[in-house]
Amino acid sequence: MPSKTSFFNTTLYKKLLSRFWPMWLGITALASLAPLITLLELMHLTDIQHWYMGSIYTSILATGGPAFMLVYSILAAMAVWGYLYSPRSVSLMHTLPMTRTCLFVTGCAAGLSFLLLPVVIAGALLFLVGLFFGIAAPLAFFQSGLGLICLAVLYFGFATLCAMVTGSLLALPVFYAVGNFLAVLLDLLLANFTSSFFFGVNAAYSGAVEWLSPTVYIYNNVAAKTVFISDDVRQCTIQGYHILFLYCLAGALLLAVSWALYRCRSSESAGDVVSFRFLRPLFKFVVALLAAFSFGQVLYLLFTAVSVSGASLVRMGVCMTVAGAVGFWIADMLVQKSLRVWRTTVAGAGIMAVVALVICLAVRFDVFGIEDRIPDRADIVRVDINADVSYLGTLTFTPDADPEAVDQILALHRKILDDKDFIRQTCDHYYYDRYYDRGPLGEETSLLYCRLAYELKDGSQLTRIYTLPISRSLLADANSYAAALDVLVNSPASRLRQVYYGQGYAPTWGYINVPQDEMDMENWSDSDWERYNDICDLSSDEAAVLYAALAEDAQAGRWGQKDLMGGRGIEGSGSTVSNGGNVSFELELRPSAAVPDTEEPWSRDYARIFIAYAPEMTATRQALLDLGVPPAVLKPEEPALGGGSEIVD
Amino acid sequence: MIEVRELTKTFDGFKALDSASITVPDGAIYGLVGPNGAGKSTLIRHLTGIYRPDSGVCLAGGEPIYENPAAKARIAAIPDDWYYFPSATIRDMMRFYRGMYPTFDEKRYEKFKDVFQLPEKAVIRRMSKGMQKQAAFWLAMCCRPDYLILDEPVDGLDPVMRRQVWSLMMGDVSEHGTTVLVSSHNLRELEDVCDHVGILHKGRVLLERSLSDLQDNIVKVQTVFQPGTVPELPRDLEILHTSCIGRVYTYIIRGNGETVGQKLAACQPVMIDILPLSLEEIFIYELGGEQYAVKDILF
Repeated sequence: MPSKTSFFNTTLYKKLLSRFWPMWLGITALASLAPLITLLELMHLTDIQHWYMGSIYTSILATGGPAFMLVYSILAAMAVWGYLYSPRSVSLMHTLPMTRTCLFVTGCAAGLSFLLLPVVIAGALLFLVGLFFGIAAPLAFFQSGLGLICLAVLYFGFATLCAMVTGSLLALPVFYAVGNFLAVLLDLLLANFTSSFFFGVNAAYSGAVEWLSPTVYIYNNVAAKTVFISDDVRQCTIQGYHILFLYCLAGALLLAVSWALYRCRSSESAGDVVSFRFLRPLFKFVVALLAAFSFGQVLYLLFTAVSVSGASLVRMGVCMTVAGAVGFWIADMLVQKSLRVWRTTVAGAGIMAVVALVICLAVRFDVFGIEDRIPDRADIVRVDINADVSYLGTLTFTPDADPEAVDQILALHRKILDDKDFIRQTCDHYYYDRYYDRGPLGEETSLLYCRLAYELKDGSQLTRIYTLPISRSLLADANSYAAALDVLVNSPASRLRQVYYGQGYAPTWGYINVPQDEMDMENWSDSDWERYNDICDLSSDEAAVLYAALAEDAQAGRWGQKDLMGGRGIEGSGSTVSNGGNVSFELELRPSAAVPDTEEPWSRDYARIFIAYAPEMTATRQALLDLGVPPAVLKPEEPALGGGSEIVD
Repeated sequence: MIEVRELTKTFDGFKALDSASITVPDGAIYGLVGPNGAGKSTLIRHLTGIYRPDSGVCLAGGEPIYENPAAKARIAAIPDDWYYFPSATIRDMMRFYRGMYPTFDEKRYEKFKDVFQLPEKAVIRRMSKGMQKQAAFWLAMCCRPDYLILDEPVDGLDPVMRRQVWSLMMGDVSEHGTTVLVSSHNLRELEDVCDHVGILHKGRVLLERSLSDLQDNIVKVQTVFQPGTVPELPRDLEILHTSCIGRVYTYIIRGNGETVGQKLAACQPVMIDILPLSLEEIFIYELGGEQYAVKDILF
């Protein structure tokens, strides 16, 4: 009997389900492997924990769910909306006594049924398995099921939108795949492009618009968690569960937009790559821009050598123009369904060339002031500095606690930018000149990586990474960036920061590594061992004494001195390598007061430092003597290369 | 009644229909003819609710067709390239049509089994073109439509089945008052069944009349004049075409046969013979006036 409702047609719904039964039944059979595997696993487990099923449900949602829905949604959409892509089939469907709304709602119902039938059937089987073993976990089951429904709405909504925008069955999966990962792709391309031109700009993926690529965002932000409530009680939760609901709303919105598009979609667009006329210029320019940014950069890399001094404006402009024009030409051919599109392509390619050139010029000459940007001191919340100097680690400073250090960092940043042309040229010649056994500066030169990361009051971050040539003469020049970096790295504040001193930590435990062969003991009787262990093991009070002595040495410059030329020893640096003949010690630090927010989360609970003793560390020496280390063990030695402190999690 | 008023449709700058207007009276069999690319199929796709008009209206029983399920439920269409689901049998398609059309007549479907004699459970895709066409007729006629819209309906059917199909349709027209609009290039066949004709050319309707009016309004005159004389014909005669073989002059003249005969009698011909035109001749001579004539090309 004909359907009585005007927005849903039972006959069509049944027809879609019966036509494509191999698809949804096949997927259901595949999904039903999950309960089967679980059943076999549970049969072999001797100690079945009550949270086991909960962890299975949540893991399926967080790990398998997005990928499953991503792939299966496009298959469902291709099945349900496939009639739109052939003039014959679209003629039949649009001749039927149904409104477009009815066709759309019925199609959506069928598509979502394709997606959810396997979930419901496999889920029910899984639940029955859990019920059989008495560990059904209904709450986690319900939560995970709801999450999968949200994913189905999201992915099917987007697949439907793509289906409405195109009139070609081949273009549909391409649009869907590109659309799903476009934001991440653009982020990577732009990061790479800007870092090609901008001095010091990081080429890393920013993730700023990652939410527009739901699969990546969900995998990065939604996870199955098992919370330990007590030894044998655990709760399975889904971290970032709300994200799925937000995406579900987005999916519903996409379906609404698709419905509006379908109502005004022309039947004659069957076979067109882009079914709406107003979208065709947009499609052509988006394809051209993507081609310019992606293949333009590939061409550039193929035909030019990577340079530290930045990309060549002319070459990059040519590569982008060529790639953009080819992209526009291909897009135009697809839209017009003809190879003879030269006349229209010339105009579009011309526009693309101008756009590519404008982008290259704007970036090369830093129209937006990105390259030369140094944040105002008043806007800085914190600043991290990291350089590949041995054992330096990342040093964090705040304007309130370390005004002098922040000023030094800003001055360093300014000097680096002032000397950027010199730095670029020197870096470009570095490897060439080293090949001929000479430094680019006519002396021994090393390249030093330096990262500056500002956290600003508006919540944004400014990160710059520089590769800096360092030489003895540059270090000796008080006005050079090398000297500024040297002063900063070797400042008392930096040295104290390396051992977390003044950051609210207190030692709770310590251990002195005294070489046994240096001890004045021959037989190593029980009492000798007791004495030895008494020296080595430190109580919190003893550790505090040693920690204070270390801080005194660091403050005075007797420990922690760094050589920017690659760890070559400087007289009085106080840094030695802990080897078999030397004394070293290890301190475990825990917060004794509120740790500043500036500290990394992982270090708020716990930190550990390893220090190699050196003879010039006089305060430390005295503390070690007071703690019972024999004076003979602490005999003065020649300073060795490198060394210092190592801070581990 | 099917009405199309000032219908215009453009595809990527090409005007497929240009203010086309036709009227198909209830219970009429309307032949829509025109050269290739005239816009016949485009017009039919508007009448079946597939295309949305750029401007103008298409009405069936006074109701707009596009996005109107009530109006579309009264229309059955057989396009030139009928679509069926790839693995469907005739029975599968029957179930689909039955669910879609409220007036679907299952008893008629059973009755027509004997008429069409098609393997009901065979996959349509594997049938010949003619058999597929028969299946389309079978299902369309079981929908008991008030309006039957056909695009090249008997193309691919054998002569017996053609006659069978036309007979069934004529039966529906006479018994149920079904209105039929049929587009075809087979003018000989249309002439036998149609009572109204519309000629479409370059998206415009050139003329639209009942077939008898059309045939009354254009005549073929064969005449022989006195030896050595070719008198000047009256200026008010609208002569569409002239040819001469020996002393026999053949004229295609627009007008009533009787009136044309009286006017030509004034020229004192030796012999005059006034003949009605076939639909095919009308089509050719009407379009000849629209620069769509057979070209005399020598190679």
